[in-house]
Amino acid sequence: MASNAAPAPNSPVPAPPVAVVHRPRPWRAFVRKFLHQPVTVAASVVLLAILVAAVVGASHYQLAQTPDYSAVLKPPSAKHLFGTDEFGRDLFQRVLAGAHMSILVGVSSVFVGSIIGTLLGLIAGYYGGWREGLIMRLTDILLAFPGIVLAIGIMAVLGSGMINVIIAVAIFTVPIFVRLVQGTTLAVKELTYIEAARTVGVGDARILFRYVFPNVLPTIVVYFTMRIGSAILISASLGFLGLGVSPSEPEWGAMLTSAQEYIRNAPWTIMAPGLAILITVIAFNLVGDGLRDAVDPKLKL
Amino acid sequence: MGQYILRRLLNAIPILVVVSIIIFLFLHMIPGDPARIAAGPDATAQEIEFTRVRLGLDKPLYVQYFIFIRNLVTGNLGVSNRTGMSVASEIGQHLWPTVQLTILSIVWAVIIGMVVGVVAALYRSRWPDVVGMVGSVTGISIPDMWLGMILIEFFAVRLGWFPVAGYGGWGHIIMPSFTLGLGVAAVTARFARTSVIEVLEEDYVRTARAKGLPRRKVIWKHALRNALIPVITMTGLQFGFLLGGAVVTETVFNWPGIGQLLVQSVEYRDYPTVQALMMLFSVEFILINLLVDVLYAVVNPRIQLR
Repeated sequence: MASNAAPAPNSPVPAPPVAVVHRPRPWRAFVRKFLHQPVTVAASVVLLAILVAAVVGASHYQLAQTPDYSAVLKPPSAKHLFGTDEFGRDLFQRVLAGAHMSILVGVSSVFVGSIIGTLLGLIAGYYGGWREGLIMRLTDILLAFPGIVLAIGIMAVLGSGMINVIIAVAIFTVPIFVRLVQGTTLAVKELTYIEAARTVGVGDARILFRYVFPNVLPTIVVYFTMRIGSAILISASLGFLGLGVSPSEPEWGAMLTSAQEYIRNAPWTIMAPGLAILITVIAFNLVGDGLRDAVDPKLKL
Repeated sequence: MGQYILRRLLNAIPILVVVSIIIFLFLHMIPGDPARIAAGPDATAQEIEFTRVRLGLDKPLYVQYFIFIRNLVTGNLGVSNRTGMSVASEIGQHLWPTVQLTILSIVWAVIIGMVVGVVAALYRSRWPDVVGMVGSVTGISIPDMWLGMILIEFFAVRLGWFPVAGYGGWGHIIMPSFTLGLGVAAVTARFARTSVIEVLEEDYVRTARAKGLPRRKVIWKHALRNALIPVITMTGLQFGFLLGGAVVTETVFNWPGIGQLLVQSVEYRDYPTVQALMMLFSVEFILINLLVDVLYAVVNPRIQLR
């Protein structure tokens, strides 16, 4: 902050350079490290573009669903940038509307999952005892199903629909954050200043959120970014399997399912949604990698 | 060691009990009459009543649970609504293809992952490293269904090297196992690269170089051997996850495994089969993870079993 610097004296002669003692500024060091990674910066730009597309995509839903039977399965052209599908719907519009859906599902499911997971992880790590036992066993149970199987089981109960996909992927995300936050909390709570805070009578809730949580936050942010990539993959897979949003929706996974039949004569129908998923997930993963290296290069994820 | 395995097995029991309760309650969580749901969409009123009695759905919930467990343990998993076959024989038919698929995927993952990881480490910061790591990020991020479709279109339809889909000889398994294994290969490559780079900086490697051993010999005899043991076990840890990944791959390639069976059963609301499969996936996953942990400890004595 400029206000911290010594006030400039009102003299015509510039003051001689003074060695200003800077307090360590972790935030600035982080930004510098982050910007020093060209790949990460490039991925951030791509990610930003995808987020803009996701926002714009919301208003393109109608266009994405409008059939045009005079332009069925047309290859990419100036009029239809990514070509058209079996109903003559413009694939560019559909991919754009799909960006809205995928980002919405990915971000909100990981957001919900990470908040629940973080709270449970903080409680388990800080209090220990029966609370820890209960929460960690619960986590083990959620982790007892390999990969997408848990999400499939939840979808079987809830039925298809976007909200249900968000719920399924959020539940899938919870145990990962519980483990992560619980581990870090265990280490942090032994630090002297937490001990000191407790001794002078600071309440548990305040300790947890003022002192423990900031220590856990960098790891959460890194994981948050990476998990959005996985969440988008999982929801696209559910869509592909016919267990996600309704198959008629412009969702990337569901678009792949219907395109499968036309791959022979209209390969562009699988290229647009497939590349959209791939580029989006790569962008989230690379930005996550970059955040990790900038936060703490020794962090093994 | 024996004690550790025993304790891990004992720990797994309460988890499996709760998992079984959740899977049991599954039928009751779906809105609607459980007997109607279990009997399937095409059941007659008589069949629904028969199912109600057979599953004990007229009895109190805890009695129903014990019947469910008894049936699970004795292998009496009910009848598939979809095929009319017993669920047990249905699963029996689909299990082996999935086992074949996952094993070959692990082979792909180890071979590709190690070669890419080692080459990247040996040419650190030069173009093979860059290419390898770009490939690794792509491999982690690529959707399985899309990769599968592209492989089918290119290698099966255009070039005709492999059959398009289905179950059969070696030709049939190459593409699905590659599709399933690529994600794990990507993770393995990253891990192998880090491991080899770390070992190359060890003192004993420098000593070997200093005493005049040729570079090739140092790399093969000293560095790689030590670097790659943890990589192999790390890959083993991914094995359980392949079971889950098989769901999508099997669907793309029409591979008659338990993953495809699960998707079909969910689509058809064949809940007895869904319940049995969820239980099977969970038991397999827990046992495989236990096995891998134990193997990891056997190969790597520095790991303390707690």
